[in-house]
Parts: sequence; C-alpha cells; structure tokens
Amino acid sequence: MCFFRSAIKRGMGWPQAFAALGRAAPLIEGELDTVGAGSAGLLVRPTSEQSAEALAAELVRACSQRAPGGGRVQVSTDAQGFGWLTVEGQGVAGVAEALVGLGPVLEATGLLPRVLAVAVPLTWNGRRLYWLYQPRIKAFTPFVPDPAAGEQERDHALEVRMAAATRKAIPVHGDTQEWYPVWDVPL
Amino acid sequence: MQNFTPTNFGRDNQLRTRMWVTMLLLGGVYGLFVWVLWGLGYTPWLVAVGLLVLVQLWLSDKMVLYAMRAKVVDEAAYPRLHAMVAELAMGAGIPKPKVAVSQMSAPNAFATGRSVKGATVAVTTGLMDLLDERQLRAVLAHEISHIRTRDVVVMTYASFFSMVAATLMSWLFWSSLFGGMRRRSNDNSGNVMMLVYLVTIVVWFVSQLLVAALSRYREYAADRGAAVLTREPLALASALQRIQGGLSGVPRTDLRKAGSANAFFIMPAVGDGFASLFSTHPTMERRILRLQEMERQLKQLG
Repeated sequence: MCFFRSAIKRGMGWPQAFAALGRAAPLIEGELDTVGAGSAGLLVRPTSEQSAEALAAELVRACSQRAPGGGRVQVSTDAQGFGWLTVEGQGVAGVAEALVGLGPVLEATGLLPRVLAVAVPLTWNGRRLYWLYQPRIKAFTPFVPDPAAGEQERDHALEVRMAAATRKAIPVHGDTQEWYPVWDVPL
Repeated sequence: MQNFTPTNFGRDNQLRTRMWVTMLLLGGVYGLFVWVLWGLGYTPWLVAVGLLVLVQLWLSDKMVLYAMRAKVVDEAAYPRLHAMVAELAMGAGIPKPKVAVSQMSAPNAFATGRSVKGATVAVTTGLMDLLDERQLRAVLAHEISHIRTRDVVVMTYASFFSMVAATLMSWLFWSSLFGGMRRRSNDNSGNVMMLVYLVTIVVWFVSQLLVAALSRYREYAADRGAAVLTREPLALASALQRIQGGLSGVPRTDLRKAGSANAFFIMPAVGDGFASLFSTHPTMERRILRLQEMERQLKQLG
C-alpha cells in the first residue's frame, strides 16, 4: 500500500464517468475476474403525479431521438412506479460506450436530472454485484445484495473490496453514507 | 511485494515505522512545549497541571470501568468468556487478565490497565448477545493484543502533554477572564500569557492530530495481532461489521425513497473527509480491507 493514494478524488459528469468505466473494462473483467452482464439500467424518477404508463411513454419517446446504431434499449417500469431504461452492449466497454452515447439524449429531453442511478451489473463467483453511478454525486457507489443473509441485506465487506480495487480507475464516492442500495434491479 | 512467513506475519514494518515517526514527532512537539513554557517562566504552572493530569491518569483505569458500569466477574459466572480469554492470553504469552462484564446493551469491548499484569478485559452484555463465539473470540483477541503491546500505557504517555495542554488552555482562559492578560503599565505579563496561550493551543491541536494518528496505527496493529492469535482475520472483520450495526453508516433506505426526500443534499466529495484526521479509530472499511489482505496472506502461507 502506498503512502499517497492515487484514487480519483473528483467526481465526474456523465460522459467522463462512463468513458472512465469503459477504460476500466480490462481491470474489471480481467484482473478482478468479474463479468459484465452486457447491459445497464437507468433508474428514472417519475415527475409528481406521473403514472407509470406516462413515464414509460416518455422514456420511449426519448429513446426514439437516439442516433441510429446506438444499440438496443428497453423500457420498463417497476412496482414502485419508477422507470427503467435498459441499454445493451458488448461487455463493460460496450455498455459504457452505449451509456456515453445516451448522455446527450437525456440532456436534450430533460431526463438527466431525474436519473437517480445507472446500475451496471457484474457477476463474480456466481454472485450479482452492481456499480451504481449516481449523477447527483457524479460518482459510482458499489452495491452487493446478499440474499443468503436475508431479505434486503447487503454484503458490505465485498462492497468495500470492490471500491478499493476499482477506485483508481473510476470515481468511487468515499463516503459510505452515499452508498444507497437499489433493490430489485431488473437486470 | 513483501514476503510473509509464519514468523514475520505478525509484523507490519510500514505500520511500525509510522508509529515510531509519529511518536518522535510527538516527542518533538512536547519537548518544544516544555522548553517554551520553561523559558517564559511558566514552569510552576506546568508542574501543577502535570501533577493534576497524573492523578487523573492514575485513576483512569477505575474511572473507565466505573463509567462503563463494568464489574470484574468470576469464572463460575462466565466460564466460556474466561476460557476464551485464558486461551488467547496464553497464545499471546501474557498472564491471563481480569475479565469484566458491563451490563450495557451497546456492543463494546475494551482493555484497561497500566501494566500487562494488572490488565482487565471488559465486554458488554450487548456484545456477547450480538456476536457468535468466533466473532467474540476475535474481538477478545484484539483487546488482548492491546494489552500485549501495552497500548494503554503507550497512549497514556502519548496523550499526557496533550492533556496538560488542554488543561492549561482552560486555566489560562479563566485566568484571562479575571484580568491575567490585562496589559499593565510597566510589565508585559499580559503579552507573555497571550504567547503561552497561543503556544498551548498550537501544541494541543498538533498533538491531538498525532495522538489520533498513533491511536489509529495501534488499532491496526491490534487487528493484526488478533488475526495472528486467532488465524481468522475475517472473523474480526465480520465482528466489526456486526458491531457497527452491520454497516458503517451505509444507508438502508432505497435510493428511490432517498431520491424523493428533502434531506437529499448534494455531496460531491469523493475522497475522505478532514474529520477522519481527528478520529482515534480507523474507519471500519479500512480495517476490513486490511483484514481481508491478511486473510489472503494467510492463505498464501498455506
């Protein structure tokens, strides 16, 4: 361990954060032995009194403004009325590229301030791990559900390891009070 | 990468170097403090405050046990606890310390005593209820390591002048209120007192930082000692996690709910906070990481 850490100290906006995630793909999928799920999900908050159907329609309209060849996207809503925009890509790098491409669309349609998180799922030793990018704090936070420990339990020790192993490559928020969970990610 | 063998696993040379450097810096700051106060004619103040602090420190053992409502218990009342402490003390090569139990629901454990022979290990009933045997053993091993490395004594000496500076600061403050710093026509005692006050504040501030750093290093060392004693670093990691409510400040509220709350402030900082410099314990995250690294090293050893 070095005396001066070279962890990324500043948060990153949407394009820089996902570009960094793309560059970190060899570390994430190679050295750390985690496997990208080939997709990522954007959690979108509805506006006040917006129904799930209206939110889904808004997301579909936004997706139609994407440039051609940006990869497959899917729209769904969850039981709590939040929208999910799922993008696909080849491995972590492909997903990151698709997310970078989605940034201008979200800004143009005014959806970006309502994106609570982007969940990037990974698999490690048969377990599901997530990197959650939160645009509000401009940083990633780790999230590892631990269904074996009980309902809505998380494996914090593994989250700490994820953060330590990756914080040199992507901006990981240092304050664990920002490590919010997102349960029932549809990925 | 450093090679670890069974004989040097218990040592972390980088940690030891940091401890020594911190202690040397503390010694320097304290030496300067005494020299300045002596030079300015404040030796009687220093001696008086020093004696007061010494008495406080002398009584600190009993005061800690009293404050934590901990009572020394015999083997008949807590046979498993005594057996674990005895086994760990034997492994650490120290006499078996006294065992105390505090009837408090908050999970906690501590070691006290000015010498290895007169040491006491105390645990709360909350801790015993919360942890399984493996985790409790790991926490006891951490406390035994503190005793073995005489951490109570070391920290007492390390913080002695810091406490002296704190007490002197408050004396000088009250003294100034009653006219001690008032400039008189033909002496400069007010200026001298102001200078002493400033020096005392600086010494207190710097020594607080150094003492906190030293304390954090000794916590790491005790974690390492516990890992060596139990050969189960992850048992302590899981105990730490459980003691701190499972998660150290990690929110349990789903982001969907938190995202709609008014108290969802913008906190763009990515690095660690300034407050961590004053913390006497390292963060649970850092301790867990180190323990996981020790587990990896142990596995490499076979």
